[in-house]
Amino acid sequence: MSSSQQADWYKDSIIYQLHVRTFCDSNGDGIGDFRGLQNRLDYLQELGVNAIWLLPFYPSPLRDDGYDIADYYSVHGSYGTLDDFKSFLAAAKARGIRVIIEMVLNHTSDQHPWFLEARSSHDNPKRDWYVWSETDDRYRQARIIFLDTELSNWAWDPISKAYYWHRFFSHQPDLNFDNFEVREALWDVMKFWLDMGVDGFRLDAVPYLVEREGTNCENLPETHAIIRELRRRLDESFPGRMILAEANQWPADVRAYFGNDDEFHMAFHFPLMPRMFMGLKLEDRKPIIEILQRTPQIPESCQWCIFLRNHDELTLEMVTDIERDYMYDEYARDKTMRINLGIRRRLAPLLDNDRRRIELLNGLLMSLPGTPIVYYGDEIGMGDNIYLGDRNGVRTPMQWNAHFNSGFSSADPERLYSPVISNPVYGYQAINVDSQRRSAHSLLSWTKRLIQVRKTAKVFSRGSIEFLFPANHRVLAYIRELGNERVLAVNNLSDSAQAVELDLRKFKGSIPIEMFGETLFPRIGENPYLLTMGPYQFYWFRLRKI
Amino acid sequence: MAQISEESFLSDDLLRQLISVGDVDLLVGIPSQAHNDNVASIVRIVEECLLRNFGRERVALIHVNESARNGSDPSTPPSSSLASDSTVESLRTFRWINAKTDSAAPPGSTLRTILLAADLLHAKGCAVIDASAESANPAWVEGLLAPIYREQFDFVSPLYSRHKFDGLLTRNLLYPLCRTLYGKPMRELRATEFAFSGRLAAHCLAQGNWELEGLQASAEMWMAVNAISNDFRCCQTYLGPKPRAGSSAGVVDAIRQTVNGLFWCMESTSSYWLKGVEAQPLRTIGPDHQLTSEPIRVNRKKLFQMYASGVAELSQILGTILGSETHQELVRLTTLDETAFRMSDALWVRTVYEFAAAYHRSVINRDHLVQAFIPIYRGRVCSFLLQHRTSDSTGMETDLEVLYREFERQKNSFIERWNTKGQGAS
Repeated sequence: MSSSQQADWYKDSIIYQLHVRTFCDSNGDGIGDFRGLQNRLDYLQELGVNAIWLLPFYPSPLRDDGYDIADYYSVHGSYGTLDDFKSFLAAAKARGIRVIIEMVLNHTSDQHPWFLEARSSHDNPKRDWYVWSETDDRYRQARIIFLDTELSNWAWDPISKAYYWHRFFSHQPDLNFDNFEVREALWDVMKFWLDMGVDGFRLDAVPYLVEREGTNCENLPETHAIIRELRRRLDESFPGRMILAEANQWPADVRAYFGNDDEFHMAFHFPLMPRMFMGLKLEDRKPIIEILQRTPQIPESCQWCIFLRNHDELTLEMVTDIERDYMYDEYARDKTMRINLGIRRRLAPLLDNDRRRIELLNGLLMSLPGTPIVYYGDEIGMGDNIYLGDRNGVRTPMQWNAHFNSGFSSADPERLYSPVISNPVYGYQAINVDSQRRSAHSLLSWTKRLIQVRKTAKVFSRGSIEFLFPANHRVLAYIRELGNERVLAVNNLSDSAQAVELDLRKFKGSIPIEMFGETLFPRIGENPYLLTMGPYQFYWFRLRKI
Repeated sequence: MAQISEESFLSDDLLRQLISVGDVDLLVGIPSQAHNDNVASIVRIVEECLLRNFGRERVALIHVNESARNGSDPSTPPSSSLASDSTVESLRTFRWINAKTDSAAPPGSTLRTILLAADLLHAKGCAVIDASAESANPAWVEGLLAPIYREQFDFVSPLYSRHKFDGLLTRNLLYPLCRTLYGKPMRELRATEFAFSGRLAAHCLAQGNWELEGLQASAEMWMAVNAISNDFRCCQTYLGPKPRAGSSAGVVDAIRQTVNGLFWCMESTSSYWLKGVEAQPLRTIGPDHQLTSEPIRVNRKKLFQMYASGVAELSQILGTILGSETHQELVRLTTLDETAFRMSDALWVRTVYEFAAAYHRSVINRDHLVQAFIPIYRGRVCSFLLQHRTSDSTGMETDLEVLYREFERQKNSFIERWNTKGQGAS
């Protein structure tokens, strides 16, 4: 059975994350749309990704980049029509690219008709679809997530003269999952898109679905029960479809969202991401190994989703205070770069546009256990604009070429939903797809090759991991193993050349074959296996018994 | 004279460990004798300090121990390691190096090993804490490293709170003499705890002829003197109480080694101090050193007897080393009653200077010369103990200043004597 036919196809996926608005504008209105995206599918196929994760594209006041949904059954007018979406979906599938869409269950926009009805009167049938209170002192143990903007998780509704509950922005009232009708309504929403053919959902903010007094209102058993019911219905009616959890929690807490193979298929591994950056800056494998050693086993059919950057800030919620201070000092000394508990920067600027470090982190992304996610533009090393406010600096138009508006849109630049990056280092004149396509040694070409090599070995997507502990702590080395297939990954986290001796005696007799050049290395024997590595260099060796 | 081959000094095992550790910001060296039970405790103290105060820095610890050659795993931290202690958070891997020293290796090999490690690892700063330092605590480590790492000093010498009768060789000889010659009032020139910059480590490795026995005998002092005489930034930092040495075993060896080292240092840096050095202040971090005066038992009679018998037995040798006036005065003192015995500052300083000049001119075998100094030193100690039986710390400090001025007063005639050509006493 090919991976595209397998029920657990998501394990072998390489996911490309994008926002329709940012990718390509087909009608010259300055905003990316589904037709534009469809026109660029060949590029994604060429890149080698086999799944797309679309950020919210629903009708919305766009006060939180679309995570404030005002209509679950349609497409935002700026991005096209439902038919445009269907056309895109078919075109993606024709190329073997699966489509994962965003689904925000926890809350709606305060402009959603459900909320407008609910606030219209205390007797409205939809009143109980949201969480109301006469006072603002319930659920006091629940933390405030958006510390920069919100003072409370309760907001006063002047229309119905009561407080409503919101874990995120005050314009995003939380739905009341204790209400059966709400759960049914949301399953109807999901069914609508599943019937259309989407392959999966990334479910936003899942830990917060249910509130209970005396708790922090996160990860509650009642929330898990709701997920289990949703999964049961999904498996029953749509086998082979996938749900991915967004739960920015410690791995031990996220583990519960896999259940006994009866909740989510995948979940993001949030704490790993900052630790990859930390390990690189510290030139020390410790943070990476520690977090992966603290990561519990998950059911056989489940998979972690790992990433370097995404549309949000580089979140520092899942690090200690000491680690957070370190990350801020090392990666965001300019306070403009900080937002909430994180850093609003893209991959390339975070790494000082150092090609070697960009490659190394991508090498880790593609060789550590999990399904990797590539954030749009990072494959060409796009920059950011930290002066755009909120997280908009990492959501600027895709840079296709060195022409007008970076080839993103034919609209007047003033009409673009966001200015394109145009500084001398990261500007579209310097960094764009077309120019990198023309160079065999560009980051884009290298990324294609990386993805290509990863796809040659199932061990990366499905294999076990065993860390080696060479005396040189700057070198992170591990064995990925699946059946008879073994890959040795060795990563030099430092900016200087390193020598490392690996204890590979258990693979005595095997010949390491470097996977990018198919180069033979000396046979492994009894003695420590000596490797010398350039700054930030990494090797992937297939270990073959010949 | 012990010869060390430059090619073989760095063992393959140590090299392998250094390669694995790579560059560091800070290094802490822990020299220890074989089977020192205090090592684990010191390691824990050092580790705690580094994790708490230098959590972001790349740090490593090098343990230079004779027993290491017995095959302990160099990559295994000692059982006291805090690595698994959840109360101390560490961003980085804590690195541990075990260096092997040969029991037959000269004494300076330990410091040389630490210097080499600091240099090869490009350490910005390195502290040395002797494994036998029972009163060491994390503040010691920070006190030594912080001036190097945060204030760009090159050499940090310790100050302690100690008994007034501890460190008598320092008090009567090293401190006042070196202050006179090198211009800086550094209290502890032959410390077992100190810190230095990577810059100074590289300088010492490049400058030092490590095969020379004199350097081997006085490596720590030579380093301090080198720092002072080459305009490296030096300071002193107060560490706290340092308990009395529990046993007098090995005292003669220590005296011989220190005196030998001192005279050798004087010789090797003579071009610096012969030109005349202005007295300069030395930055002191924290309180100045302190003296305590709880009662202790001292066998002054025995000291006096050893002085008297030594002067008598070595009369011929002393006659070769010393001027006749000095020699005769030392002989005369042996006839006094023990309780009335006093060796004046003037006589003591003159004797020291004449020994140093004789060492420089190699009037006799240098080992024999240093050996002949020991009974004289015992006489001085006996006199010192009698003089300061009831002194408080203020009185001790006043007298120390008087002694220093005596060294200064006689300095010119000493330089003349030093520069005199020819053999034998004048």
